[in-house]
Parts: sequence; structure tokens; C-alpha cells
Amino acid sequence: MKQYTANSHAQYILQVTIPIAAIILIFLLWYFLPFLPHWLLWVITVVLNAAAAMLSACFLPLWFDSVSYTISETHITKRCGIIFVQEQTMRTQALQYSTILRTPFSAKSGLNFIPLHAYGGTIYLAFLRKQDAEEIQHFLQHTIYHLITDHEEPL
Amino acid sequence: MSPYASNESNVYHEHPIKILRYSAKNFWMLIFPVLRSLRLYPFSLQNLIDWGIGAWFDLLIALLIICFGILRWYCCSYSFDEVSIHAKSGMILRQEKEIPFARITAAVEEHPIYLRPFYAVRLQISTASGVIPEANMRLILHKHDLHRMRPYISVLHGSPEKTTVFHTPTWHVLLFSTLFSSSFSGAFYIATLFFQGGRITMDLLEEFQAHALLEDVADRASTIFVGVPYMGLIISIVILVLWLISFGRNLLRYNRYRIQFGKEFLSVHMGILNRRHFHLRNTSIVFSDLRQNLIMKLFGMTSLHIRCPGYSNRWDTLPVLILLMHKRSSWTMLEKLHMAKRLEHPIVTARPKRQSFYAFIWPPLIGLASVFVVYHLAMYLDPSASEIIRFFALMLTLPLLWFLLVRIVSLFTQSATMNEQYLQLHFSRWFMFHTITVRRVYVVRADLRQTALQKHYGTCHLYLYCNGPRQQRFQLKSLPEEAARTIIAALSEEVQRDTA
Repeated sequence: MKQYTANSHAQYILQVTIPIAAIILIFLLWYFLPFLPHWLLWVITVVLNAAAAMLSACFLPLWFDSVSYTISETHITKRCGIIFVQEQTMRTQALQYSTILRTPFSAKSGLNFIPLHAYGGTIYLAFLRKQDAEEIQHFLQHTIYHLITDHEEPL
Repeated sequence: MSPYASNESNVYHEHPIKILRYSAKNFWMLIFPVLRSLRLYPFSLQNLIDWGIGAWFDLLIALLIICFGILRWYCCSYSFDEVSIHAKSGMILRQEKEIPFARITAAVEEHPIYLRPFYAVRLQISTASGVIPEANMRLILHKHDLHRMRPYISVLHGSPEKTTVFHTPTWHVLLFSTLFSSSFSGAFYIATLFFQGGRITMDLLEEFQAHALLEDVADRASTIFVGVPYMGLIISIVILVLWLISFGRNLLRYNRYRIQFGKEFLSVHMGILNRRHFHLRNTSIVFSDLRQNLIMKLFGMTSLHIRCPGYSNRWDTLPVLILLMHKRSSWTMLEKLHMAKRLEHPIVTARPKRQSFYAFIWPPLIGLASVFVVYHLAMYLDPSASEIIRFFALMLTLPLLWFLLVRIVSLFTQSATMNEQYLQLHFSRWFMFHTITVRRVYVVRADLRQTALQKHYGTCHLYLYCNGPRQQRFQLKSLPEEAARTIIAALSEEVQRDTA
């Protein structure tokens, strides 16, 4: 059994990206919708800025602290949440297939994702370090899928 | 070594025909007008140069689009080992998918007419995951590569032991296409064509003068069907044409139908223009469904459908396994599928109570009453349109009467039987009668619903949910409450045993 956490580099990237996206959105709003009443534009601007600040300063650090993935030969568990902690557990025998998604410069950015598709649902392992993602992939390939092959029963 | 094998060992690229798929759709919109303009020039080197000078920018864009397609094709590859198949795709966002062979429930080989000259084959691999009924991996391969892969994927190479092959006679295909074609599926097909083809489809319709053709046919029909309003004739012709489209599509799809049964796997081969080979794992079949409409029921004929992840899961295709057969012989077939035959010693048998006949007949009766009210209201409001109103009323009344008849038959034929392993349900849904045979472990949820009146009479509606790529609900009306509760209790015991 091994535990993995989300990469803090991904957190920093999101913390920078979200305010930039909010600024671009506000600029587009003022540029393309100038006919709207100014008080409404100001309200939207303030709300967007506040939301971006809240997300970047509070929500993201807390969420990244809370998230953890536990992988064993029998179960895969994802635990996350700030106020309400959510725990999703999947039996590895229910796993049907897996996908690994990598963004450019994922080794630095930590934007690696592994959706695990099981019979009845999907668990997303998000914001993994590149070496962690590769290790999980290797574990699935060389342990879980061999176990599945030994107990061949698709459903 | 495959011509498309990469330097890395055991890593292959898809068939290069996929480049055309990866090139943007805009390529075709750009290249056709450019090539058409070439036709205007009498062929000579000077004219070709002149044409090139005029169209150089369009040609450059087309070349860039093709280069983009080639680059995308090069970035996509697949590989396989003894345990699983891997596919990589994407240029910027890289995606790597891995499916263990043991989890493949169905593999579909498609040989469309336009891929055959290039020795290309489309392979779709499905597992039991997900809620969207789409294949989990789609590849266009060279035939050599498919044959290379075949020994590794047990579903693809089939059963090692002797198999039984069933060929379907052409008249069965014809009869099946007649019975299972509908104007709705024809309309859906046309709508898809419009959606995907866009402007090209509109242009084609204009070219063939479809509107004038329709009016011409309606004019001719009006001389034969005297007294039928013109608008009614046009609507009837459109319905008939849509039905014919669905019929033609079914004929092309199900022709040359052949099934091969093995101990572990079964293969279904069908189609003319697009030859499809479905390879399924027997244990992946969630349930079997014997379907009949009223006419088939009268003649004792049935069609065997199955629910299996990856097998004709799209809602516009039928997951049919045996097109037509006699109901008596269907039980032998179910046995071959390792499904139960007729449950001879059931522990529970539940049939609807005759007093609750209203639960069966109220929907068509309400429909008929509504038609009656609307007809008289419309006649009162606009008597000048009486012919067309009468036509529409008749067109609505006939299917509703048919529906009423189906519901009355269903009252006498609906039942739920259960033995130690299986649950068998006989019921009707819209105009179709179903006989579902499902293993008890695949029933994931059971709901019992009662109105105040049903509580008084001791009856209830039983809803059973079956597992699969999407959940399927079966409704059994007005069963005795005690029998329904016995079924639910037995199913929950099964779930507890399975969990333990």
C-alpha cells in the first residue's frame, strides 16, 4: 500500500492562473459589454476578483492539503474535501481500464491526471507528480492487470 | 515488421488512412472548390501554372492541414503485450490509455467498403466501464497488424474448441427488417445526415430536386387515393419514405448475418457495405431479451436480443443476436448462450391480478379520449378543415387502438418467475413484448411502488434495475404484493451473499 498526494507545483500554477483568468475575463467584459450599466459591471468585477482571491488564497491550498490517494493491490482510495471530506474507494478487481493524461511540461507543472474507469464509475487521480503518475501506471500494468488476468472475469 | 511500426519495439502507428480523419473537416471544404476550378482550365502546362498561381494560397492552407494530420497521426501510436493494449494520442495534451485484455467484453472489427481497398480495418474495443455507450478504444489498423494482435486478445481469436455456426436465411433478414424498421429511426438517420453533412446534404437535396419530386409523387398518389387530403398524402409519403430508409438501412446492416457460438466466446458477422464482426465474451452478456410484436406473437416468432457492453449499444441500433426464430426453439438458443432455458421449477411465479386491468389499459384509453375531444373541438373551431382533421384523427386512433390491444394481451401474458439462479420477466413496453432472462446477481436494485388503491387490492408495481454499461429498468405492473416482496427479499439475499 502506498499513499500519494497532489503536487504543490500544480497548486502554485493554479494560484497564479486563476487571478490572470479573472483579469482577462474582466477586461473582456468591459471591452465587449460596455452598454451594461456601470454599477453592474463593477459588481461583476468585484465578485470575480473576490472569487479569484478566495480560490487562490484559501480554497486551493486547503484542497491540495486535504487530497490523498491510497493505492494497494485490493483497493484504490481517494480522499479529499475541505468542509465535507469525501472518500471514494474502488476495488481493483472492478477496474476496467485506465488513462493517463499529461500536459506539456508536466514534470515541472504537476499537471498529470489518471482517470481510473471501473465497473460503475470513475475515480480521478488529479495533479500528480510525473514520477508518481508513472509509478501508479507501472503498478497498474505490472501488478493489478496481471492479477486481473489471473482471475479473468470481465464483469 | 509492419510498415507503420515505430523505431521503438512493439510500438505501431495506425493505418495512414487515419491522416484523412485527423485532418480537419475544413480540408474537404477547401480542396473541392479548388479542384473544381481546375476543371475550368483546358489542360496544358501553362494553364496548370496559371491555375497554381491563382490558387496557391488555398493549396498552401490545404497542405498545412494535411501536414497537421500527418503530425497528429505520427503522435498517435499503440502497442500491446501479453497482458494489455496501450494507445497513445494527442500532440499537446498527451493521453495514454491502457486496457487489460481480460477486461475486454467486446471487440468489433469493421470493414467499411471505403477502407477495404486500403487493407484497413476499424477496431473498436469495449469494456464494461462508463455510462456512455461508446467504445473505449478505436483504432484504424492495417489488416496485418490486426492479425498480429489477434492471438493476444482472447475475444478476437475466439474459442479454441469446436464452434457451432448459424447462418440466417435471406427471408429472415427481409422479415426482420420489415418488422423492426420504423419511420422514427429513418427520421433519426436523416437528421444525423443533415447534422453531419451540413451544407453538402442541403446542396444534394437541391440537386436532386427533392421538393419537386415529393410534390410530383403526391400528385400521382392523389389520383389513386381519391378523397384523401393532399396534406395527408404528403405526410403519408414522408412517413413511408422514412420507413423505407430505415428498412434499407436494416437490410444493409443485417444482411449476410452469421453467428458462431463457442464455449467462452461468440462472434456475430453482418453487413454488406460495412462488414462488421462482433466478438463477444459469453460471461459479459448481462441478460437476454426475446422480443416480439403482436404479429410475431400471433405466429409464435421471436427475435433474440442481448445486453452486452460493446455490442450495438447505440440507441439507434438493435443489439440483436438471432434475427428471427420460433419461440419454442429459442430456449435451446438461450441454453447455448449459457442463459437459463424456460424456468421449469420456479420458486416464485407472479402474475398480475385481473382486477387491476385498469393499470394496463389507462394510457391508450386516455390517448383515445384525448383524440376524441381534440377532434370534436377542432371540428367545431374550423369546420372547413374537416378533411385534414379527420385524417389526423384516424392516423392517431389506429396506433392507439393497436396499443390498447397490446396492453390487453400484456395483462394476460405478463409474469415474473424466479429460480435459484435466474429471474425471468415477461412484460410489454410500448408495442413490444419482452422476455428478459437475467442472472439474479445482475439485478442491482428493486423498487416496489403502490398507490392507495393498489394497497387496498394488495397489488403493486415492481421496478427491477439491471446492471450493465447503463442501468436498465424493467417495470412489472400490478403484481401481487406478497409475490413482489418475496422476489425483493430473495434478490437482497443474493446481494448480501455477493458482497460477502
